[in-house]
Amino acid sequence: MGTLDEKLHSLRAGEISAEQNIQNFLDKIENEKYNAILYVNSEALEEARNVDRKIKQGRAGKLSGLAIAVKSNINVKGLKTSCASKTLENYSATYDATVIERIRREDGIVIGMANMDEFACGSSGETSYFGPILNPAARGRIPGGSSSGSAASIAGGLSDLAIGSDTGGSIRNPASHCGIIGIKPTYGLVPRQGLIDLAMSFDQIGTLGRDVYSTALLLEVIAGYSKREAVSRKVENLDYTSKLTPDLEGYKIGYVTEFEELTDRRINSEIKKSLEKLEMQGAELVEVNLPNLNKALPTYYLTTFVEFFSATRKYDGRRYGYKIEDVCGEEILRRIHIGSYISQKEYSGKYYRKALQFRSLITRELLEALRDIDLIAGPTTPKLPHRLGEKISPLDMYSYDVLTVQAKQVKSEISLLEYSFRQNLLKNRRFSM
Amino acid sequence: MTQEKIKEEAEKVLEELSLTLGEVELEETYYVLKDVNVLRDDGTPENKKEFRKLALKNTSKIDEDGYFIAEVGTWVL
Amino acid sequence: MKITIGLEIHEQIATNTKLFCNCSTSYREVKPNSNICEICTGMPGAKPMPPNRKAIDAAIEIALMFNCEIIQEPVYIQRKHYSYPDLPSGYQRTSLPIAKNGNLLGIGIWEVHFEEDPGKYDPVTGRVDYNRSGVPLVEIVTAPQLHSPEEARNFLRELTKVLQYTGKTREEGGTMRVDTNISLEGGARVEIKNINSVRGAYKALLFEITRQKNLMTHGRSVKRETRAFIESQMITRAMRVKEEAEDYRYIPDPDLPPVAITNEKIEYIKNILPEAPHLKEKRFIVEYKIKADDAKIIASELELANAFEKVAMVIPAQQAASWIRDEVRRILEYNGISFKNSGIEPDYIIELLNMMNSGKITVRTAKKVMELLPELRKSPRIIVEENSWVKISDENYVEAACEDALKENPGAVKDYLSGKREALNFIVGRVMSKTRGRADPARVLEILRKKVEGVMK
Repeated sequence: MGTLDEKLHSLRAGEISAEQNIQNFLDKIENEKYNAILYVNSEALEEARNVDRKIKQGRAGKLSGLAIAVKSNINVKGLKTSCASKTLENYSATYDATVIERIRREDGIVIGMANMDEFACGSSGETSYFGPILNPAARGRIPGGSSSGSAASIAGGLSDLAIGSDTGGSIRNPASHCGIIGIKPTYGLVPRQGLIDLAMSFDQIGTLGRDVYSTALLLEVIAGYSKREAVSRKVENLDYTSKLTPDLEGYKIGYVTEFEELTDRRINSEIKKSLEKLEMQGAELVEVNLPNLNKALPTYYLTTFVEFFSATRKYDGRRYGYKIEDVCGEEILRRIHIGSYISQKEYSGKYYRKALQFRSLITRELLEALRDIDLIAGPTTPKLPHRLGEKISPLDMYSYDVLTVQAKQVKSEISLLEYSFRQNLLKNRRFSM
Repeated sequence: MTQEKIKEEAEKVLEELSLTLGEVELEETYYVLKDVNVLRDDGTPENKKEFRKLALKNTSKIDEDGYFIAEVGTWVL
Repeated sequence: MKITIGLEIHEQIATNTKLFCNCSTSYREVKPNSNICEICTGMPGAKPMPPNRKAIDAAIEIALMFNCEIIQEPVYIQRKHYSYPDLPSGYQRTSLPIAKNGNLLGIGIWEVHFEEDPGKYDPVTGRVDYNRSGVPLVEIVTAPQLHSPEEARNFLRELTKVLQYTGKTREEGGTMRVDTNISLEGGARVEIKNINSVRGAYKALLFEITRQKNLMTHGRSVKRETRAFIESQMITRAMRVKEEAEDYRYIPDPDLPPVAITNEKIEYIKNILPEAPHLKEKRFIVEYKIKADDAKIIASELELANAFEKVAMVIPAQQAASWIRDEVRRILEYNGISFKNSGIEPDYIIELLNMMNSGKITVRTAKKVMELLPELRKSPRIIVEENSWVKISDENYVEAACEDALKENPGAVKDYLSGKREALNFIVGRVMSKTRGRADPARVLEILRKKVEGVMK
């Protein structure tokens, strides 16, 4: 299999048609064993034929007929956007998310809706109402979550690219477990209009792919200011693909000592090798400290429980068929319950608002750590994926996110994104920046 | 697992999480972006005819006049 | 028995598009659920658009009309969570106060904020229409300083006037919604919702006082609860028992950055602020020395008050006031229109009164022209000319008409001569109709009297 860059050339040169490309994936999806794709876009072939016409006329967009798998919490008009929950099993999206509009504008083709942890609440890919997702890269192991189907569709060759959402690690974690590339963009960079909420102040749509180039390309398509939402960064002229060079001369890369303490020895040794490679590419390694790292996980979870509680109030049974509490899985119920409890007037000071105060502390600490360096590099998850079906406690499940919840809570700079793509050069897919 | 069991477990999770937190006295951070006054001008209305069709189709109950149907108010019974 | 009443008034702000989306705000004249989108129906994944600036500016202006202090720290737009069929997201977006500590007619205004209107829910049929969902509202909360239904009614009437003065609320009217809380000495506070008019508020309070007094005289306690006003029956009925305050679990909406009202904005709006109606009324009495009753009526509509001031620059103030109070108001009421929409220009009133005062037309003609203005919408001078209504000043012509009238009505002449003086008025009327109102009735009377009394001699 060539790179996606090469495939794009073949598509534009007419060596393969978009229709063939889509048909090829549709065939694979029909026989897939990963439970990665829940619904197929029945109009994908028709859309591909339209793209082929545009290719012939020389006016096809950046994605020229590439197949994109979409996480089931991103609205695609007419397709089941179920959040992998019984709650929304009957909901066909009534509108296109902004990112879908942008993908269509560049002639990407939504191939289908990817399976996921129910309402994006999970780090293992096991909580979908439609059954667990299998890891194409590690048989018998969890694929990670919550964008499990998006990651598995890339690793399993079911689509060219995928989009997912990341709140506290939901793209990076399954990308890491499935051995592919995934990025959570800076908060506010990608429009969230049409992304079904987990926690509004953390959620961000991002991209997954087999290589850095294509992941960057798709991000380039979906990123950028939108005047149709109130929380959006005013950045223009986003160009990631042209900045992917192996030269790291002059870059200061931080590694966090506290990460090492929390992480499995086997992962640490891989990370060490990667850091050495970064150094060989010209980067300067700098040790940084995040003394309050252990507060990040509770801060993150307590905040997201409340936002999730709020976000799920619309599933009151009056529309969409079911009341969420009546049909959802245990993890959803647990989060709604805690969120409802700690947002009460009486308790919010003790839990929710306290967490928001720690959020200030952690933000400050991370900004401080980033002051003199360009980026922080480290492991994505602290442990290797457990066996599918293995019972682990909620808190153990949450701790998968201990290394990824942190980054989203800070206002990191857009330019960091460019650098983070360089990791492809290191050929180490268990690596986060 | 019963609702009660989940509630119990949730309380345990909550206690453990808040135990790790400890004490701090800082202002609360609600937003990642520090923007204020993100407003829009009152423009010409948009009409989404297709949305209406899809929304009505996607709702559990509607009537022939195009109303969504919810429960009847208990106090008028 | 001491009665304490507080009011929460919701009024729709006039905008083209809704508070958080670009759907049209018209919901009355369209099919159910036609002006809706994913945002105002709270579809999964929908985020609010940035708030409508015009709506927020209107709320600031309204707050300033009540002399409120504007909050200058960032104001969060919060999510108020509760479950109700008209609320598509399970929460209502409502701002923290944008202003505090105002007053109107000596009643404290606690705070003013803006929020989104829910959809329309009919509890009888269970039907829900989201056309109204997301229409901007301003909410005004008074201190519990009202002590009778009459006082509450007065206050609401004045408040309505103030809101109309700003021109920032919906013109068609009937969009006001009131929640009121009322407690009688020794009883718990009862909240009444679902009131849609000033009259409704008055009736609901009357009913509630009777109900609570009845309970108390029978030795039963008044429960703290929320009741709904059933307009068709003019009664209130318990909605749900409120043992303790409902917990709305307010959180700042993470999808909406806070609003910070700047000094420049406040100063700008202060400069374009209309004078409040009750202040205008007082000024008119002092400045123009017109009757208090006239001032009150003239100040009831901003455009009418402005017209008066323009007319009073040319025409003696009390004459202008009386004319507006009697004639203009009669025509507005007859046609059921506001002055603003009547087509009556202040210049028309000046022209008309000038013609009348200079004797070019009779009072009767002036009144007739006035009546035609809303329909014809053109200069009174032209109307008079087109209809040849200029007063007849040709003495011979008038005398001839008088002569004819006397001849035609010998009975009336006889009556007059036998002492029934009012019989002559009848003949004046005949002359006026012969001259199609163009003769000066005073002169006609003079001529008739002279002629009849001449016969007598």
